[in-house]
Amino acid sequence: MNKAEFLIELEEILQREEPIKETDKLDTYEEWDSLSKMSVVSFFNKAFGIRISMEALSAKSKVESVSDIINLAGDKIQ
Amino acid sequence: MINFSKEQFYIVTGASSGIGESVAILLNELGASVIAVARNIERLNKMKSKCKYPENIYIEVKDLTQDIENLPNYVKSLKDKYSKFSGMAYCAGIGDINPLYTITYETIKKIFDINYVAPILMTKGVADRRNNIGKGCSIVYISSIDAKLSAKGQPLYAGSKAALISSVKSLSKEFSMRGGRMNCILPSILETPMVTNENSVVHNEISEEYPTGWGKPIDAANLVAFLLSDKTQKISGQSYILDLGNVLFRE
Repeated sequence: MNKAEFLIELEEILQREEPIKETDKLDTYEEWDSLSKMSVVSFFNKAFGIRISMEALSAKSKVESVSDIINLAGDKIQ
Repeated sequence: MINFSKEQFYIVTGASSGIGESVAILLNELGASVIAVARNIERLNKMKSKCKYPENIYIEVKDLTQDIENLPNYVKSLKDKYSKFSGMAYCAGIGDINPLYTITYETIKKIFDINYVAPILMTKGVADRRNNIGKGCSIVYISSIDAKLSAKGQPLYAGSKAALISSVKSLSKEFSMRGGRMNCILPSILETPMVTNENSVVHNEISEEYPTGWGKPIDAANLVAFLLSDKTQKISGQSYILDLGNVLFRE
C-alpha cells in the first residue's frame, strides 16, 4: 500500500469529510477517538499482519501526527 | 405526541409489506420523509397510495441481498440523492421453516443474508458520520420473539433474529460515540403476510398458542416510531418484547 492509499483508508476510518494530510496533528481531529484507534489497530492487523496496541496509538509522545501512524507500518506503507 | 418533520429522512427496508409497510405509513403520517426500500415496485406504490403525505415517500426498488457487500455504498448513494439520515427501521426479513432435514449451507445463507448480514451492512452505511445527522440518529431492527422462545423448525430464523439482539448491544456502544442510538424490537406473531399466508406452516403450527390473540403490524410500528423519535433519547442497545404477554405464559 502506498501513502496516498493509506490516507484515503484513514479518511474512511475516521469518516472525515475533509481530506487527510500526512502532517496533520491527530489531536486536531475530533474523530480521533477510541473507536477510530480501535479501527486502526484492527486494520493494521488485517491489512499488514502487524499488531499494534491501543496504548501505543494513544501515546502522544510517539503518535502525534498522521505520519507517525504511517511509520508504525514500517515498509508495509511505501 | 410523537412528531417528525419532513426534513427528517428515515430509511425503511421491507417497506412494501407487513411491519415495514406499517412503519413507513406511520412515520409518514407523523411527518417524516421516508426512503421506502423493497423489491416490488407495485407493492411499494400501493403502500405509497395509502400514505397521508405521499409526496414525502421516496420509493427505492432494491433487493438487499443482491450486491450485498456494497450495501454501505448503497446507503451513501441514497444520502447523496436525498439527505443525511435521521435513522433507519430495518424491517426486511424472511421467516422460512427449516427443520434440520432442509438445513443446508444455502438455506442458512439465504436466511442470514437478509435477516442479519444486510441489516449490519446497512448499519455500516447509516452509522457513518458522513451519512447521518449525528446526535438524534436512531436505528431500529425488527428481531423476533423467536429469539427467546422458538418453535421447532425455526433454528435459522431464531438464530438470525437472536444475532441482531446481541450485535445491537455492541454496535450501540460504537454508534453512541457518534451520537446515535440503536435498539431492537421482538414482536411475537403478527398478522403479516409472512404468517397469514394460508400455506404457511407457522400459521398452522402455532396460532393456537396465542391465547391473547395476534398483534397487528401497527402495534410493532408504534414502538418503532417511538424508538426512532426524540422521546427515547436515552434508550439504546435495548431489545423490547412486544408479544401481548405470551412469553410470560410459557415461562
